[in-house]
Amino acid sequence: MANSSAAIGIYIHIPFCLHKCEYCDFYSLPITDAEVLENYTRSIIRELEHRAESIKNPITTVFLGGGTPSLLKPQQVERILAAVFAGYKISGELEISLETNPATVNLQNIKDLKSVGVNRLSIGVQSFNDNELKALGRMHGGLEARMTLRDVVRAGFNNYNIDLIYGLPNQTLASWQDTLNSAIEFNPQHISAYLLQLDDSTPMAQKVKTGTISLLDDEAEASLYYTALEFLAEQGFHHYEISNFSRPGYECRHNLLYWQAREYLGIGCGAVSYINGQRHLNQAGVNKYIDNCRTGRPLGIEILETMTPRQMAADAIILGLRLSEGIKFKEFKDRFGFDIMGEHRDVITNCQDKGLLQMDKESFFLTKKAYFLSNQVFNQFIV
Amino acid sequence: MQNRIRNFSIIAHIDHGKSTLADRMLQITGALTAREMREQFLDKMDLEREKGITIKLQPVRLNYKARDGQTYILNLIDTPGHVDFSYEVSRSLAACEGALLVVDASQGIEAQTLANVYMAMDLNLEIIGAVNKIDLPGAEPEVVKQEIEDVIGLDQQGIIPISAKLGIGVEEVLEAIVAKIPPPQGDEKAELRALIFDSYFDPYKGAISYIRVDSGELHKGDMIRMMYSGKDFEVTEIGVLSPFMTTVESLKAGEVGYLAAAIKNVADTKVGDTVTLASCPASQPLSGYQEVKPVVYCGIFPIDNSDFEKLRDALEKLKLNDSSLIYEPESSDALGLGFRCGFLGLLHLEIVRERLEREYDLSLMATAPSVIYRIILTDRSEETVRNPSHWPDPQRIDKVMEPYVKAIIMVPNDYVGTVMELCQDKRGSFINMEYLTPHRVMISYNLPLAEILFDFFDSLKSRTRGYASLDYEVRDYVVSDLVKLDILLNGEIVDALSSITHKDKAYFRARGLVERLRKIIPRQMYEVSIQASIGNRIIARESVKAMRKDVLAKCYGGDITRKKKLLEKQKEGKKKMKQIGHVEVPRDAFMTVMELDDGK
Ligand SMILES: Nc1nc2c(ncn2[C@@H]2O[C@H](COP(=O)(O)OP(=O)(O)O)[C@@H](O)[C@H]2O)c(=O)[nH]1
Ligand code: SF4
Repeated sequence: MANSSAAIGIYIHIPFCLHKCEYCDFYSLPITDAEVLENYTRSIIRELEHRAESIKNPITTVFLGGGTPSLLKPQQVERILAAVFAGYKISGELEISLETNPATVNLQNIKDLKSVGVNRLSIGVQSFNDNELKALGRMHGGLEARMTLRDVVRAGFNNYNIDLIYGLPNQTLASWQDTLNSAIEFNPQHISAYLLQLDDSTPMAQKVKTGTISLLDDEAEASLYYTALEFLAEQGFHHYEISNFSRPGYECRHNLLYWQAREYLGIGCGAVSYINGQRHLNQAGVNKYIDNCRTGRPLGIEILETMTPRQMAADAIILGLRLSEGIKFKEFKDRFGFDIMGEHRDVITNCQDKGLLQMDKESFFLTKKAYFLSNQVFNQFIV
Repeated sequence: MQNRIRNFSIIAHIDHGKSTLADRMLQITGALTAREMREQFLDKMDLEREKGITIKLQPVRLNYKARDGQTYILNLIDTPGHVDFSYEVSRSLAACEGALLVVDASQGIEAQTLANVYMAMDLNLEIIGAVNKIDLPGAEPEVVKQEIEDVIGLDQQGIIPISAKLGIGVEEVLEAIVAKIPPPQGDEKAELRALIFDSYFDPYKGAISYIRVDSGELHKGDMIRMMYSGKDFEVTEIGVLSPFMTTVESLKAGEVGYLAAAIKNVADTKVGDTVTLASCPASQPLSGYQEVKPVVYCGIFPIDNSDFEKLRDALEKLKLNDSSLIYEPESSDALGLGFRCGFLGLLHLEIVRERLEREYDLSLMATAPSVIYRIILTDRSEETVRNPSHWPDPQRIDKVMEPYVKAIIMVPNDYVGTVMELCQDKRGSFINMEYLTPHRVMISYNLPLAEILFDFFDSLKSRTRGYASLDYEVRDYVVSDLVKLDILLNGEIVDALSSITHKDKAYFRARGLVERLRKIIPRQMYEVSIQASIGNRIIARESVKAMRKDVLAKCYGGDITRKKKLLEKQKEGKKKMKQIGHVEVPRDAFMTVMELDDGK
């Protein structure tokens, strides 16, 4: 798949937060001083410059994720974006997303981010309920979330996402509905609603283990999920990925690249790239990363997987089925050179029998019931 | 010549120190140099090591220079340490003139040991007692000596206190072997009669038999005849184990060694058979030969149906080495094609199953073990049932008989109550109880074999904090009120889950089974109903609710690899499942479902 004409996305990882949330398993460190951010910005720029030579593909999206990228000053974001524009071929109008957390930005910051070129924001609201936010160990309450959203609207952003989490301890259908209602009030173009799934390493998982808190049962979680599906559909949102909803035309283009199993370049400490059929993990350890970038030493890179054409095709199925549009027969064949029905007829018909997959002339896709059971489909395509 | 030979066995309970003592003997007699000395040299199968049991040590020949200045040949012939193999024990003992009884000085005699000592006494063996581990702080050599005297009748004066670990008393043991065990007295001039006490399959030399020459003389190149099987072979190699295989020209009356004769199948060198010369055969074989018969059967099926031939090959190869293993093809609606296999006991079953999986790389399912039932039909004919799914229609049954054992349990007297309770619970009938010492008791019970097959020993151990020991012997068939209990998944009988149970326990067992299945059958796309029935009557039911969640809510560029690992794991997990109708059942279910502790 080393196709240098295909457009790719750049993901830039900013591994700093004001403090670590209870459920967090992202690579992110509590920030200590502003100087680190400046050094880190410089390192990112160096790495962008350095990698530019080897990347011939045009860039179509930039995503600053974290961590909390909104801890960067708009001016730092500007310099990073400048390095992208300077070193890479740009394809059409870039989607430039940035993740923010409530209470880390004010109206002026947001305006400045917009003026330096950020055209999409993703706001980590998670919930509007103070108790729930507390249980998650978030730094903000419902009020701060509302204030930040208000500022985002005021600053004139017309493409932004609200991240929500459901399946919280003691969460009820009513409190979830409240959160969904509150989100809708701000008229976002995009909503991500994630089931709380705890990695064993997190403090919250430990609390579940020791019985200090307890999660909901599968039935309750499923009913929260399907409540969101129905409600957001009524509100005119298109359910385009298992956990993602948008106004028509406002799908996150960067994330679509992942689900279409397209390639992407990961910049920054701990970022993952998928280039030339390989997934690799960039230099771990912020200090090492900064050091190596400053001195020009090569970055430590861990190869996560080297994929055969068959594995790439399997990825495209597993990831592509996350999208409500599913897999298109012709597109798949053009891309991977074999007929998916020829190869996987048994699995596909078996899943159809179980009511997990549906098919039309051009494509096959998950049924509504299958979204929350989707691993049952995916694991059959693993090679 | 024979004056300088001593043939002996060691009888000891597991962990009482048999292997350690044997190693020490090898070291003292210089059979092994320090470099060759490896802990427990004689204990060879990995599987046995892992299970912490010694099934059998290989025989070994030691040259011991005694205090009288003479050098003696001591042949150590081991006895397997498990009730499944008691026939083999008897043949090993029959190859000896004496036995060394080793008892842990802090544990005392165990049931299994006692059974073997009785066997040795019946064969007129000279018994030498030793109490081991006297170096341990909890050792009570005097108490244990007294116990040995009381129970077995050995004079405690003669019992030797030893520490196999530290080497204390081991020379005394060797001296006692020389002094007390009579030398063999076979007639070298008579016709050849040699007892096969063990055999195994060697891919290069064919079946190797361990033999004890009783009378006459055997040479390389001789044409021999197996007296029970009637087959003739030409001897290609004979030798002794000292402890490595060392060829010799001849083996004479009284000697112990091995023979190879390009025999392709161990079934032709059956333990207990008598080797004689084809040219001038002995008139009578040695006594005591028995055809070993399996007492437990279970179905063994490949998970992947296409492995059926591979399984057949593997069984064929295993049988080369294990003539007591019996198998015949079987077909199950639920599990497809496989084999119904017969074993000497549960340990034997477990060993065979593990070897099939490990050495032949097979993924297998085993059904719950079953004993052999005898059924008298209303038309007076008799049927033998080894497979619960072949149980006749109850309308046709006049009466059913099941095998009973006589079980002997030894236990500190504090536990008498709980042991009796357990036996009662397992449909046992009390025979008697004897005090071995003021604190230890021997309890005898008649029990259905089927009841002790599953978790009896585990329950016994846990209820007596590990103090109880058990020995049993299959006796006769007894009429019982037995019924067939079926399990239905989504309304369909799963033949591989059928079992036979006593009528009074059927309801209880049914409840236990369906509950257990509910726990081990994972949630599936649709609700699964689990029912237990006797004939058409449903007597217990449960259900597994439909799966509602199996999702990765988040999957972005950074964690695709990790998320795929999870899916891979799920896929692996599926391989451990068997699809029965529309239900996926973990393959272990067929075995584990039966391990009910109905005592709790
Ligand atoms: N302290 C002590 N431990 C011993 C002695 N003899 C054997 N053991 C230990 O007891 C355990 C069982 O011994 P082993 O020879 O394997 O028993 P087997 O199962 O009868 O062959 C091992 O851990 C030995 O090290 C002894 O004389 N003293
Ligand atoms: S804000 Fe996000 S990245 Fe930062 S600690 Fe919380 S969950 Fe982790």
